[in-house]
Amino acid sequence: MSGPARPVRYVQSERVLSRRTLHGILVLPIDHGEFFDLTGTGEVLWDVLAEPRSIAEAASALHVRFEGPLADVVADVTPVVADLVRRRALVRSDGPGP
Amino acid sequence: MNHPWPPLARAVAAHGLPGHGVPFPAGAPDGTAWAELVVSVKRQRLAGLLALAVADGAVEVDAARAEQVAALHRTAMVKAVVLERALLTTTDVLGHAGVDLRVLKGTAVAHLDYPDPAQRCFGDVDLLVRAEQFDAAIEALRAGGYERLFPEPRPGFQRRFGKGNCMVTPEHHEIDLHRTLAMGPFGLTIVLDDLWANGATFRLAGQDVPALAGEERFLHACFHASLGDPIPRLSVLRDVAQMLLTRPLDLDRVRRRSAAWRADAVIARAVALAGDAFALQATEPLLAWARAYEPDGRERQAMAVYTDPHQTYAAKSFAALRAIPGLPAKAAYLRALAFPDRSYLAGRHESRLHRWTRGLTQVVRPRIRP
Repeated sequence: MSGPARPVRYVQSERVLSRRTLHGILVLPIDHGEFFDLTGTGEVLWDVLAEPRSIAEAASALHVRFEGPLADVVADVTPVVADLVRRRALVRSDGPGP
Repeated sequence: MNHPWPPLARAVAAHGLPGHGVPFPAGAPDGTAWAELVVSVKRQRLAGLLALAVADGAVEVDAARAEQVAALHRTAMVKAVVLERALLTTTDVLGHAGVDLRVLKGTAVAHLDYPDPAQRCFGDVDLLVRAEQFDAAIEALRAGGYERLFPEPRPGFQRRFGKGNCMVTPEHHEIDLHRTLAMGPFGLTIVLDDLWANGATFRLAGQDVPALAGEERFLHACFHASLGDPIPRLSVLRDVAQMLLTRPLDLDRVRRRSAAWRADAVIARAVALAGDAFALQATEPLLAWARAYEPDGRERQAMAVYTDPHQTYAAKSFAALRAIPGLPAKAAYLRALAFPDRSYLAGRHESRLHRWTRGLTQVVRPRIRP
């Protein structure tokens, strides 16, 4: 008998170079090749994902800091996380959650 | 005291340094001062410290100038991360070839000596390799598609006598490969084993990257400030002050190394320059020593080939002769410079005779100039 499925967690890839700038964070995933900037809530999300978190956990952490229904935050975070995974800036993690 | 740098650029370079005496002028800089600052920030690699000063509210800027600073800083940071990627690729190539290395200067200093690497900009990558592995390092990089920018006068010359060579990555980034920390006489008296006796590491994209230990990093910053350009960059002087004032340096080790490398004049000049540039108080023991230091005749002569803006590569090479130990080595050095391989002359001098004439002119000219 198996227990409840563990949520998929994401964390910043180690293979990333980054710098904090006046407007946010400049990120260069070394296996992808294109750099990009994360600003505003994107910068906060990046900091939150320094530790492994599921989308729900990351959205909860953002929800504490920003107004609006949690469901809306989850809806906003989901495609951003998917994009960061595609860019190899985030990776799936087997580590424990917060 | 007159300084060669604009006052506002000095204030930016000093920002965040404990105990400095270069405050920002009150009020927003006028248009001329701002334009001058922007030019200086690019030349002196101060975009990180200017961004910090703006974020801290130390310098008064309107929205347009804040955007300008943000853009300057971002451009510098794009360059930094792109160079760091080139560094990681290069360390991989050298690692697979079994070549030991230490990352030098801007990249290492940014990560190890500043609270945030975003404060320190840099324009290339510098790596130290062991003298006995220098040729192997060049070969490994060439096999990896890197191009050697300058040929050496004769095979093995740089391994024995040179400062190093510049390699260009397939993506056209410059990697300076060092055997020692300076060209000319002061580069030849450095005890190279001292650079490998201790070490530090910093984390980059999940990898531990090796660098010089703190004391040797400080000494290298002093070499760079003292011998690099006749008027050193403010960012380089900031490195000297940053390490001196914010790191727990073992000053006994610094002085022992400095004496063993016959580099007291080099270290004293760098520390005194940094102290003057940032109006530091002489309560710091090394600064008090540096300000009181009187170089002897040999040191003055050796320093002149670096600090006189009219001095040349040939003059530095000639001055290096005195620092080469033993007659056979001196003879090998002279032979390589006097009778270099044809490949070395290609594109540089029309003939060996022309090279001799030009070299002698450069060596002699400084002595007959009033």
